[in-house]
Amino acid sequence: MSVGPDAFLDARHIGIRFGDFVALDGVSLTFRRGGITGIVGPNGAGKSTLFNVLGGQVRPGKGSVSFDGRDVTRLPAHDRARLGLTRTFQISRELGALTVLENLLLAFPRQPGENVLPALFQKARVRRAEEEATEHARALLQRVNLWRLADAPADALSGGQKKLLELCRALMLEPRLVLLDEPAAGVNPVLVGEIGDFIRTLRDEGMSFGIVEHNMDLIAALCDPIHVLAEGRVLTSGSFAEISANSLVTEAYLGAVA
Amino acid sequence: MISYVAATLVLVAIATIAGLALNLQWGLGGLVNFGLFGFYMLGAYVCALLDTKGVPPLAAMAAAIVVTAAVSAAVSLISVRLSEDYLAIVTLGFAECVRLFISYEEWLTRGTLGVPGIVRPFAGSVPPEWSDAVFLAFAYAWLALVFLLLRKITRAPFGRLVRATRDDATVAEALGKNVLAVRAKVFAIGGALLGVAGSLHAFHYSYIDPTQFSTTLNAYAFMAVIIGGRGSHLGVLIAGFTVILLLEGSRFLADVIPFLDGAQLAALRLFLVGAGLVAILIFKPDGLVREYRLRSGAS
Repeated sequence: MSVGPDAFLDARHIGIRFGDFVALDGVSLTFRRGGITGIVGPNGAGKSTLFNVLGGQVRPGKGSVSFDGRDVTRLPAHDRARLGLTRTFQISRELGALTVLENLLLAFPRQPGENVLPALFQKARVRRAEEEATEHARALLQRVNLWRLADAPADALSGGQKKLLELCRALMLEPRLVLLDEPAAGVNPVLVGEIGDFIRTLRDEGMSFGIVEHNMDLIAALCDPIHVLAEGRVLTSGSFAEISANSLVTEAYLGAVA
Repeated sequence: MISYVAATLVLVAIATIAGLALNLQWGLGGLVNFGLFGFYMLGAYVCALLDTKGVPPLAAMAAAIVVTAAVSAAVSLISVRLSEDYLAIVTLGFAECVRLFISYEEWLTRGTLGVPGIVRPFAGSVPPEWSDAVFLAFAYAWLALVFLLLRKITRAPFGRLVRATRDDATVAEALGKNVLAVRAKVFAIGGALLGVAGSLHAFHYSYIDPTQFSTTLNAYAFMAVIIGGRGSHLGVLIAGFTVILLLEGSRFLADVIPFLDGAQLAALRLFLVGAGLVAILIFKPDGLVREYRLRSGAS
């Protein structure tokens, strides 16, 4: 694989083990700038662990991660987010005691009122930032049909709605690259199509994505290239047509036939 | 009788300020602080020792606030990398260290002899017969200030951020929030408030010794937060004025109920408070008042 200027997020030889279990074994792959890169593979292939390494939740034993040409291997997750790299989680992690709207407002990156002194003494500045954030949040929530639930506590949402909330919350950060861990899991099929359209629109506006997903229709519709992971290694990479024609991939999914 | 009521009301204000501090740290921030009384004791001693060395009372109090805030932040930073259960143990250990240090380092703290002759603020300009009333007003001015300050920062984006780090620190990190820094701030602010409460304690008694500081304060503060509703400052205020007032104030029931002796009454009081706490947990597990949530009126 080439490491050209279009390699926005670049993982090199990532190795990580939990005790005796090797979760990732020398994984190297890239996420294209301005593209939607897919990661597929059977359960236990190491997809979520890879996202944990890329997002900064887990530090790899071996290898390096660079984002936009900068080595971020040892950078904490919150600093990566400030550089424009964020992620969602496979199991929805809504902030349950916060309302739907508050979940989004939290992610707004330019709120001075998150510090104590401005919160106390710069009321006008805080309010302006809050208004800007609310406008932005409203547009996102209306898009996924959650605005009517803006004041509901997030833990009252259904599983699919929580997925949508997480997507919107990540977008609220105005990231440059978002890693989506199974964005369609539990979401009703009509809405899955809408999420796909939404992601494509954002891509056209210049945002980049990495997606782990089991929904192959969504992967086929959005992603190029696609990396196939199995047993902690990159099995193959290519367009959807290429990987679906690859017999190794079928074997990895269905189990090797001797 | 009047002076007894005034003294009880001061103790209620002090315990309620401690409850509000805990509400910020634990109720909103999810950081369990079992070492509450240690920070409180530290504040009382810093204030008392400076005060009795001739530092003006308000300056001594300010110093106590700064010291407890700084020490709180330091304690949180050495332990917030650990999970929450460990923070509880570290804070409890810290409080014991403070208590032992103060009990035995006599060159600095006079140990078990205690520190006498603590001068109250405005002592020079207030006639002695008004001293208690002025101090009562001083304590309640602090309670009001603390309450309003906490309410303001809680309803600001800062409060939202603190609740988010409590609900899911990993998500907050992924959204670009420095959770460690937020937790240190929360602990420092809570520590500063415990410094306020400790200073008021020193001024109130005008004599302090190590036996005055125990986990009773922890019990009051946790009860106020649990009964008031985790995260709600108003709830803690209400709980402070009911629970702690009942606890402190029911001492003089002995005058009214002649057929129970003092020891029986003391046991009965604790029994009733325990029963009340259990009843609240069963019938109103979220406490009296819910924590603040944004209402945008969108729906």
